[in-house]
Amino acid sequence: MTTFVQILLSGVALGFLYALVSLSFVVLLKATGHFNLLPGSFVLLGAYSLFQLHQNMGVNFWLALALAIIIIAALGLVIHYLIFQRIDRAAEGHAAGLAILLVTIGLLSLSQATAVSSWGAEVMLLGDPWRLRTALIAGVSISQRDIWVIVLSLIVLAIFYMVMQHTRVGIGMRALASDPQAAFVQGINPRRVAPYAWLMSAGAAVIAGVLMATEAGGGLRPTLDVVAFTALPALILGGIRSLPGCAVGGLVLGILQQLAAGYAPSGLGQGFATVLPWLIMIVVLLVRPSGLFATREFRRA
Amino acid sequence: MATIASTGALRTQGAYRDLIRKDSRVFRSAITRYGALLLVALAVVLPLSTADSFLLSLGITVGFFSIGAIGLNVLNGYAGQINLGQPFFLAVGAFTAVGFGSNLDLPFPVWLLAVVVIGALSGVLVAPLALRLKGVYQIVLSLGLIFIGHYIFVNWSDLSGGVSGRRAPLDLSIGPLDFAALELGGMTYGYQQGLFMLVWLFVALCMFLVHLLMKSPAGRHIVALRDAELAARVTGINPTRSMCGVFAICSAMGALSGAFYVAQLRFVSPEQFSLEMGLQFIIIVTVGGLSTAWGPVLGSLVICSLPVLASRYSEHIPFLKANSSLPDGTWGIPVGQFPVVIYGLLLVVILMFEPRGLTHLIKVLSQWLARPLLRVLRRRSATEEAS
Repeated sequence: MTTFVQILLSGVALGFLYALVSLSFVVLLKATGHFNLLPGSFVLLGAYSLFQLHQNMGVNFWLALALAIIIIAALGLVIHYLIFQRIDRAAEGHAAGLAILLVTIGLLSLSQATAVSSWGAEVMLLGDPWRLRTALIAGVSISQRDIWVIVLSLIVLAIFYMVMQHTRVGIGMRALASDPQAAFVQGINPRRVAPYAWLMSAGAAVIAGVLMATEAGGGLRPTLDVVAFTALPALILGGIRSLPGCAVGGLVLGILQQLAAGYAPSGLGQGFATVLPWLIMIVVLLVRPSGLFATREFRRA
Repeated sequence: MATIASTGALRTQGAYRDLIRKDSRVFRSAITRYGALLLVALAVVLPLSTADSFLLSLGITVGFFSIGAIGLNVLNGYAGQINLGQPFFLAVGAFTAVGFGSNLDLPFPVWLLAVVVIGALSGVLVAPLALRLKGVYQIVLSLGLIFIGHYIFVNWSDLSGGVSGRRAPLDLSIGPLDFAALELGGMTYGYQQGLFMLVWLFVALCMFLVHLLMKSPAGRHIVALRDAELAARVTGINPTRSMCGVFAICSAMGALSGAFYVAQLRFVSPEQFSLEMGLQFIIIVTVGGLSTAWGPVLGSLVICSLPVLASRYSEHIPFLKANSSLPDGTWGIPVGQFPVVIYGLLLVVILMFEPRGLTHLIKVLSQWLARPLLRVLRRRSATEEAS
């Protein structure tokens, strides 16, 4: 029983990580109108910025986290104004979507090279306050990092929920995503809304990156962006445009993946747990392509 | 009859037919026809004239990447779909080659045919799933293919040797002609020289097939579906059939590329067919120029040469330092990362300023360079007329 609870808890923690990364993707999709892979870069560069600020420059961990989020959001905004808007103006519809996706692949390469050039390819420790300690609660030993993952993710999710449902900016964002022209007529300025969207996306991605870099057996490494892509099945499962969908999709996949890692018979081969989310995603795509939390506009994605 | 033939409607139809006929011609002029023949001859002569293993292995790499990219260009360029999963098809081809060529020890033409057929089948299998999806879903699906392919091949260890990979020698002889140890005019040539020749002959074949396809009705259907799907369907084009065909071409050429990859290394491991390779293929077709005949080859040439040249001439390039995993206090781009920087920059710059790719840039550049020459020629003919 205790092993089951342990596995379940680590699954919940993994699920929240998936949820955070896919939230970052969804918010960017809503804000820019095009799917792109920038959250991968955010995860990577965010974790390394925190390392630079905290380990190399001695800034307090939480302050460094906040600074890293602001740095990444600013970087995102620069990319938004210098590259995305330019391509949006030059190309139309489908072509612009493809061009922006490809540009972000280029930026992904650049950010990976930046990380290796500046900090080396070695796996490093982030110097996080929770380290590898475990807590013993009612006979179940839980790594403190998992607890932090769950707590931090819940805080981020709560903030996102408040912003999206109860603030002018959030309502404006939702209006722009569902019908840009009607939103214009109502006086919503996309230029006003964009910085908040990038801040939210960067926040979710950087926190997820920092948490990923403190995983037991892992660490801060230049392939974190590829790790971030393992959250994409959660995005599909949740139905690409829905924020609660992301959270639920992430949790379902995280728990299933950890259960598979713990209980799957060895006949299923090595790496079965890692590939399970992708298999589930393909089944979902076959049976219900709109995801578990379909919104009506999914076909436009 | 004569009066009918002289009416305007029919005359325009005739002109239109001429236009189509001109456009359907395989070679636009004698220059391109003999140019193409010359290039094919070059693919045979070039490897025989050099034994420099550096050039030869680079040439083979560029060659097999070109084959995969030519296939991907049909899907990503002409058909306007998105596929990051080309490594999956390369893996299918590579392991088919290993299974038929190394494990069963079948002759070259047999395993090559198996690679193409199984490659095409894998594409047809994926197509219905991919075609139901658009945009984001297609991208994520193709990423998933890479991970699932990795899982399958790592566990199929008889074939792949598991995580650590295995040696995979392949037979390269057609009848009396053994490309692994070519004997021509009393001279014996090496494995790499034969493989170079073989790979580039296949590059030429693939380019020619795609060129023919795009001049045929089937090719026009593909482009029509990309540009105006509704209009194309209204005129009776079957999108599913066309797109399944596109997937089959893309995957068959990907598989062929994978088989030559194994032939070059004589080693195979599931780790080779990674996400990075998928990104590399996308970069190749985009930088070379989407929907162009020469784009994939040009893109492979640039993208595959960069890492090799960078490591060879690293001391002449500023901001470069030797590979080291530990930060040593000095800021510099490690040699291994230099090509990654260039890929990234190329992709961003090309998409922002010249989405038509390197092919278009070269065209513009050659026209600009030829302009003074043309001017001289024109002036000379003008003076001749005057005299």
